[in-house]
Amino acid sequence: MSFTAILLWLLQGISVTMAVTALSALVVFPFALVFGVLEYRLRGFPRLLLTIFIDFWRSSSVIILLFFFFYVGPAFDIFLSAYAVGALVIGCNIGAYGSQALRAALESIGPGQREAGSALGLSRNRVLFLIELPQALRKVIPIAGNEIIEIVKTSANVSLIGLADVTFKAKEVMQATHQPAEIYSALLGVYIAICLPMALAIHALVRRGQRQRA
Amino acid sequence: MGFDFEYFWSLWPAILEGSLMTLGAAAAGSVGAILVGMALALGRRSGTVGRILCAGFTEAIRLSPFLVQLYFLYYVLPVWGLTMSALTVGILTLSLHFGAFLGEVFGAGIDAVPRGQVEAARALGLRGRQISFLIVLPQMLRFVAAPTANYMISLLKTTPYLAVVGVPEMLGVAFDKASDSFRYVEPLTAAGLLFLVYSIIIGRGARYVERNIRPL
Repeated sequence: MSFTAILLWLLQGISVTMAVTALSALVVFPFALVFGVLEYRLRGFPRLLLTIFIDFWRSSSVIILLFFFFYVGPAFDIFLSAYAVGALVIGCNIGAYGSQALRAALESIGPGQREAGSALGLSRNRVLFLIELPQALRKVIPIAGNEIIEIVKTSANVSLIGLADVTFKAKEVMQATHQPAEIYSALLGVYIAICLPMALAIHALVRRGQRQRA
Repeated sequence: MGFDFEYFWSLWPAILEGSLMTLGAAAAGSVGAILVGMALALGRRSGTVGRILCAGFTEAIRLSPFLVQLYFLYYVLPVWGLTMSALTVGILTLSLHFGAFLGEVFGAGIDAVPRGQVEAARALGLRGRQISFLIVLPQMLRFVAAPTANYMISLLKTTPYLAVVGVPEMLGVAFDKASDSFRYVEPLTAAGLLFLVYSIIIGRGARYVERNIRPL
């Protein structure tokens, strides 16, 4: 089989890869935003509970959790589609990392901003949403970009729970024609072709931001 | 179906044994990754060709999934005449993958050592190799200790992927057991829990490194 034919075969899976990426992103960003802000804002016992929850998602391995939710759910009459399991596990894992980035960004804003806000008579929550959060979000833009790349890469895992993404298609074509060198070079190429433009875009964005601030 | 505690407890000896292989592979992968990272950090400073090759390799690794890299080495190396055990291929993939990330860290670490240190050493009459090993390296290690420890955690969390190519580590053992009994709940719970314990322990270790080994 020619290299082009292999590449075309792999690309049949691109819509699944994209769908899993999009669904995961729908989990990642709300997760990071909500829990990042909450961890920054909460104190005492609720904060401890939240930290444990976030650390659970950060400390486990995506591949183990993916299998766990895929196989263990049905035993307790919870039937989730492979898409749902994939988006949930990938989303919560990467979202947990993102929440830490947002929390760190919020903490890095000087106390002067908050004090100035309360001197102007804004409530604590209005200071958070009108003054601190916009600045923190600006700081995490490059991290959010890297997270999208991370989601695309992690989406390859769903091939292990039976979704026909590009990685799954590679295994399929391996069974049809045993040409590993061509197939897996093409597969690496597909992922790099998706991720490289994103990486370059993030790089350009960061440099533009630096120029503007300078 | 529910949860069969008796079966759950009976799995532990095998899972624990498998977990030793997980830890061993992660340890070997860490050593390999540090070596690859050092080579890349040095390669990027050795002329134009070295820089382009090392940068290209680093980007290729950083922009593709670990799983795909693992498949690539597992299926393609034999075509090139290199037949290795699944475990060796797994450790090699871990080394190359995390080596690419560590190369960036080490490069930044070398850059972070103030220029004056090298100049002062030269003024004191130290030779090139003495400057590298006695002046730059010890200071650079302090810069890179914390990020390196964090990559070691990621590396541990990536090790279960080796099960995909048939390495009988923790997740692989859990799957073997599951396909014997057709019960997935208990083996995967056991592997998941034990893994969480290991990763929390290593996480604590990393936090200790982060707190105690800092740039001077």
